[in-house]
Amino acid sequence: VKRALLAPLLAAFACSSTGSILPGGDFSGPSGLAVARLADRNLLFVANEGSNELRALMLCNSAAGAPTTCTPKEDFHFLPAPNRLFPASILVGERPLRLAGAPLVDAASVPHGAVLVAGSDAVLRVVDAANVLAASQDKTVTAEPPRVVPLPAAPVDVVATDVSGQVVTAIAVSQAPAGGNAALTVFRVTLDANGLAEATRTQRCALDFAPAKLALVGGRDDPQTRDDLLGDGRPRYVYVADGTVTGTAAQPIVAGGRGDGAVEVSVADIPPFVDDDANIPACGVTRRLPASDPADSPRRPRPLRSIALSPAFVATDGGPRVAGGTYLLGATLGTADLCGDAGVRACRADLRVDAGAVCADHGTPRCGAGALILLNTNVGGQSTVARAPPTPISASTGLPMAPLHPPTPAREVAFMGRDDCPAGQLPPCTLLRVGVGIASTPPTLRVPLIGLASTENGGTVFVKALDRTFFNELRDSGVAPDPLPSISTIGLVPQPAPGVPLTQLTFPDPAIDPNTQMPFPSQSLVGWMNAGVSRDASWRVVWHATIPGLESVSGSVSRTGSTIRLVLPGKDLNPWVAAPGIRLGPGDFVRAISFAAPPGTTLCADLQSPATSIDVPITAVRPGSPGSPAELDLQAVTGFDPSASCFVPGVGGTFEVHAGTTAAGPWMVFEGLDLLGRVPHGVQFVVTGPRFDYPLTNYSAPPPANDPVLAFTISGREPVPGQDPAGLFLGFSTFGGQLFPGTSREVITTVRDISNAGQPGFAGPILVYSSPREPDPIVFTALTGANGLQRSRPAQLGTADSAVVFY
Amino acid sequence: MPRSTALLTGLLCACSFPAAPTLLPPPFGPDPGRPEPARFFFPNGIAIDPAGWVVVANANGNREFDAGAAYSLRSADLLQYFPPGTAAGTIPFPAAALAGKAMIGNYTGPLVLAAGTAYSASRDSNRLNAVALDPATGALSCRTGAAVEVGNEDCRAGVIDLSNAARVEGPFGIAVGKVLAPGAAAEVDVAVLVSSLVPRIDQIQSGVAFTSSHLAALDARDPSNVLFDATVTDRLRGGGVGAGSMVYDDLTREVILVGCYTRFGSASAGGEPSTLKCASNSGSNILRFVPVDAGSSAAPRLYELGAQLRATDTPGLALGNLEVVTTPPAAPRRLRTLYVATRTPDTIARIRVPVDDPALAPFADSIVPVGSQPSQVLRLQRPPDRPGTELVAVTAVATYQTSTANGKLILVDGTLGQVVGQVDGLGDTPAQIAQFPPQAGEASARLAITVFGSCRLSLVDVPYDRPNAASIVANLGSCP
Repeated sequence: VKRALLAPLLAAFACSSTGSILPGGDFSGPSGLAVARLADRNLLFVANEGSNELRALMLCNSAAGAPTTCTPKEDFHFLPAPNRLFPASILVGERPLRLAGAPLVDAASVPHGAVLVAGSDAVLRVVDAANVLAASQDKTVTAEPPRVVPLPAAPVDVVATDVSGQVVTAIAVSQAPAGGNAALTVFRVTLDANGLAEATRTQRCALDFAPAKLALVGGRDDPQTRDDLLGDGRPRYVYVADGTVTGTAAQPIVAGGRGDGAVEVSVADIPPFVDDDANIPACGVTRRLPASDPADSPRRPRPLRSIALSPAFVATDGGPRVAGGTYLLGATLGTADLCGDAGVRACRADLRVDAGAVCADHGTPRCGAGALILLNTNVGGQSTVARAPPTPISASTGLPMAPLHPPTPAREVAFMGRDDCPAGQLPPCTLLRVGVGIASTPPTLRVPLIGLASTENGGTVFVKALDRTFFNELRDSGVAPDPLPSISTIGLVPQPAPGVPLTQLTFPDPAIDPNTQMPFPSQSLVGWMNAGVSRDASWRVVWHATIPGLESVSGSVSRTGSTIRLVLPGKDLNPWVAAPGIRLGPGDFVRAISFAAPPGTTLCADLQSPATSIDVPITAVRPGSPGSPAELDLQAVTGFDPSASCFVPGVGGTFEVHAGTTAAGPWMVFEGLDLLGRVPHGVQFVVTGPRFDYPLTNYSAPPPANDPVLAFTISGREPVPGQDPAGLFLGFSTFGGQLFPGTSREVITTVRDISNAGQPGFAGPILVYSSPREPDPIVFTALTGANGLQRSRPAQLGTADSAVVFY
Repeated sequence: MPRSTALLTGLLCACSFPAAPTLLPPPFGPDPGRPEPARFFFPNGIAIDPAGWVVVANANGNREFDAGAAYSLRSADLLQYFPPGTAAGTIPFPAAALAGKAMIGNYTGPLVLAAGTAYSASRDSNRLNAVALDPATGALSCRTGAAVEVGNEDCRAGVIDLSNAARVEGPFGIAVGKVLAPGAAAEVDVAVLVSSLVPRIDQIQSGVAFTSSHLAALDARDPSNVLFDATVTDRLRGGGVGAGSMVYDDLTREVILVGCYTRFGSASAGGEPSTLKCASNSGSNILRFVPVDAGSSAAPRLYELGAQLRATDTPGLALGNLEVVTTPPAAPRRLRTLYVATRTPDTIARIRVPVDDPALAPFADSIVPVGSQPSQVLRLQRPPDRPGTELVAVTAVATYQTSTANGKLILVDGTLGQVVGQVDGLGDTPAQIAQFPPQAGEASARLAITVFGSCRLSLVDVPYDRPNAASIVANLGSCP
């Protein structure tokens, strides 16, 4: 086993000592995770999707000090192959992707777990974990091939109840075949006459959307304490993430309907299994749990890629037990209608912007993919998106919360919480240690319910679910107050000559409500930045910038009088004219790059070496239409005034197009790579954006889902054409409080391998595990992109061996 | 013997020794007097001519021979292996289907067919191989400028030295496009566009190489005629890195390039500059757009997607559809889709390029980890009577320890952003993919895939409606 100790792994200043071991090849695209319980140990199965196999780690499960046949040398080590030199490789068909552990017991109540495998062929495979272990330990035992159960199409996901018994219920969901529907199939998992695990199809029904993930309510392995099970041990409900991202005329995507949230299916009402793939009956009793809210403006469906249901928990000592399944945490898929949803738009009426101000929204990153949404399931009623703080999470009215965005998009989600505390602990007893490397004494927080999300950068982030915010290393360790956004120093490039007044940015002061003499909540900080809205970004405000996409436009040139006409037969300029952030038009200018003579001729002297720094004004723009090429009329100026005789037919020219001093403004505002808009000198520019977190400890009222990100006015000396270079810019950064300024390390509590080995990221499924030996939950996260498996103990972060990555 | 006599004798002996024998590739040699039958040897580039020919370039990747070879195979003979029927398994090289052959350079990359000529560039010699395909017989003959030397099958010299003529070193990426030169009345409607994988050294300062990479456009009517060469990256723009895959987007008349290769002084190469993929942890992944109508004055537009893709190495690129997003009251907006394969992490990513708002940069909106090392990407064409979501085929290898023998084809539903099928057992390092022209009524896409290390061509059937049922129908050829 190769593993990298990740000390102290939390995104802390001090975490430079990551033990970095290059991938050893034991994992190849690890994805699905599942635990199969056995007598003296549990087996953590990892789906190696790249090499069509499972690997298994042995986890000794008896309480510390209790006699066991599972040795310390075996604990957290790979199940060996019979030759002992390599980890066992359990072949399970093409591309195993999702796993579920079935906690079977035999007639003597001895644990005899199995694992169910969903891959890319249209079957479900059943692997008998006891047989696999026996074959590993005893060469006389034959490792039996997995049992195979047909499905109507390739499976998407599989889940199983976590209450042990001689019969365990599992449920798989399969893709929709062409012209058909996705299907849920319920299995009865048992041991056959030979003592090997098998699965029998018992119920099946069809779904009219694209399923992405299944979830059941989890909890203690004690049927007496479970309120999510039917009398026969089957789960009361199975939850299906709706991952429909494209609709059809017949089956459109609608907010509150298809493509929005998850669907709860009553297991008891799924029709009995009939072996007829062509006629699968619809799931009878279902309830949709939309991830959008009627109060969203605009309301847009939110398809989900991953979901998890909260386990039962107790929030306070002596407080009521909150039933399992009360909350649903979902990670969103991106949707096309959020792609490119940025740019200049009308200023929000309730913002007290200056007259004539330019407002632009910077849109939803990555088309909304990888955001986290929390729902009140309200079983038996109408589910709701959790309300925004300070409204209690259990409330059904008020402003809905905006999706939370981790520093990089979320991939998979899970919960941690419990309703039975270990001896000596009082509720709430789900523990998380924060502030490692920051606080002199990192506190261990006692929390009722923790949400977990794996992210594209390979991290696992922690969500303070009931507060609807990410855990924050500074705030929650008491090192610093609430995180507030900030602005770096501003650089002017190039610097002006000595004695020349500076061009500057002026950030507005907080806007004061005359009635209360208090700042308006959305405009209470300098620059109208907002915690949880203003994000980490780099900004450039560029004077007379080259217009994106028009860095080199070419066509034929001619001259009539003082007008030089550039005809662009291969270019449609309509997007540049229409884009509100660009508004190409008269007053913008070009600079010549080169000219080309017709074949067999030479250029006149005026065009052979054109002055490339002369601003040639555009006097007219005809953007082009079918049959009519785009044209720019240019005004000859001193320095670029070629003789009319130069423009023989066939002379071509290539030009660079710049924003000029027009009504749209000579300044272009870039956030990262995106041009947000143009703005005149001395005019206020206000950037708005979607909320990504609720990081403040106290809110007087629910903050809007979309709020100001930053506002400024370009002030001081206005650059002068001919004196100042085009491309002069003011550059600065904003820090939103999710990362430590100047680093890629998170301020929000994260476990991540920051060594080179962990850089590929793309964390996948999360498994929360505990046993008598490990009373505090362990979090396993598959690092699909980095070919690793991360193990962390949230209660002990920062201590030795509290975070490890197996490669 | 006096020393001078001995020296003279030695020199004479040396001079009288025959030069190393020329080892021509099959089926021309190695011994021209007794040539070996045709077989695949490091097949890489492949393209399918609608007139009924499959053209494959053997890259001679181990330099077993002194040249590579291009073959043309009769499509009808290969199509017989597709369903209905049973999989043919691994069968010998289809000698009966071989209609044309020609010697070409080594280390050929992707291959394109343009106006009846197959083009593929040799990275070692910087030469562009151009072999004319007779649409009637499938015979291959050398191009020399505007002419075709009918019957001449020794095309090793190529048609042009791209390094000398167009500053393109280590040519690899290749595409067919249209070029309208500034001021020209008519466009060159078939231009061969070639980009450099190996950066060109412009200057060495204090032992540091400053490099640039370039794009050449050649006139398919006379591929020795360079229409223009343009700088794609240099020391100030993109760090001068070379590119791998490229495509031409007819909508915007731009070449789009991905991949990252650097050049540096190497002690192991005796101080000679070496070329390597960029460091995987550099955090940089530059998407490059080059407007071809600007010719040599083209200013590339570069976008850094490293923070989104988390990968530096992007070996595969394919042009997806043009999606129109309609969300009233906003005006409909078009998004150009690109599919890329990345390494470390191994993913298939969908990139959106806003067409109607040039203010916005491209962004990755779907990234699917695939667990295997993906390489080349092909967007599958559907026949008109089989509409559906966008299917993307990706060659990949599941490397275990150091073995590259577990090649596979991964099928991704580009619309859903999900892997929907996988074909295992493709062999050692599957490379390029080509699709037989889809016909109305067909239920499957029929693919031919070069398998670089297994000396074969694999034929794969991909049902449009059940891509998870995709399968190998035949493996043609094997290594000796």
